[in-house]
Amino acid sequence: MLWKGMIINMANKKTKWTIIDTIIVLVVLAALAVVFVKFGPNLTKKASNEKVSFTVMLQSREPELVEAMAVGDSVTLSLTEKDGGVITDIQSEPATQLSFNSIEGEYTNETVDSRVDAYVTIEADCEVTDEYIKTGDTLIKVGVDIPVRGKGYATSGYVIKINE
Amino acid sequence: MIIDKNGKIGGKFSVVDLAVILLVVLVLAGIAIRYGSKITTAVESKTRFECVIRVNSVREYTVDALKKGGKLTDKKSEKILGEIKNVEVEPHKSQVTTADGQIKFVVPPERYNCYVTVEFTGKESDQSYILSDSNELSVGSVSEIYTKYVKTSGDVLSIDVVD
Repeated sequence: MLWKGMIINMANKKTKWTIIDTIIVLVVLAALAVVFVKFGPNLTKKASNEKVSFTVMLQSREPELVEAMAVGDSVTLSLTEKDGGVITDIQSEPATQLSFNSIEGEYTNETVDSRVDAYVTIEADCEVTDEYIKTGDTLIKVGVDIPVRGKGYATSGYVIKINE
Repeated sequence: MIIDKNGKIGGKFSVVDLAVILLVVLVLAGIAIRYGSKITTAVESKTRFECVIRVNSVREYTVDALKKGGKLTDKKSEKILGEIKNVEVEPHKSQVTTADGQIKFVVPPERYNCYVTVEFTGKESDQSYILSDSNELSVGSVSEIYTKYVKTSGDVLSIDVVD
């Protein structure tokens, strides 16, 4: 009975469209348009999940760090996310550094004692689009410095190669 | 009192009505301040311009990644700013001072300069070229380069409007 009374009251009540109603509708439409412009491209973006292999260069590091790493290790590739990958290859060589000889007036690559350059290849589940390759929140691009944290070691290095 | 027993001002507007009007006025004022500046006046939208960016002293890894081409994006890889059209590579020459005080240009091993030609779509005003991420593009400034495969930066050498 109560519901029936309410419906009758609502039906009898004359509703009047005012300028204020129009403004509210316009504000809501404008807000929706802003949200679509801001987030629309991300909603329509096509991303695929793929395993991507990439190489991280650890330059001029203590040999002990590289010895602590092993093929098959699970590594985390960001400071906060748990997403990560698996080490599939490790290559190391004596570290070299570009050095300027002011007497001869030339640059040479000089070996750095007691340091190694390591090239760590990692395979990770990534979100791949035409614009980016991402694992968790970490963008994988040549030139980006990313964390590499495994059991008992933590370091970071530059991505130098992506094998998509 | 102006407010009557029904809570309306002058018998017509309620406090909520006034709040809505105030909100709309504030939004319009915000839009006017944001987009009414000198930089964005007389803006011509969707202009295509070709730009050459020199990326200095990089290793072959960066060269290879740039040569893969593709779209240029903003820092978060969310907005597309343009597309790489060409990449030319030359050995990097570094200015040095020798022990006897001479200034020379020498070529360090395994370092390259890349001349990256990019076609941007943005806006052109009387005073500036503006990219889709609202950053200005100017000859002499440093421009960040983000593609699917690489993050680097370089000096803007030239900007030409494409017909």
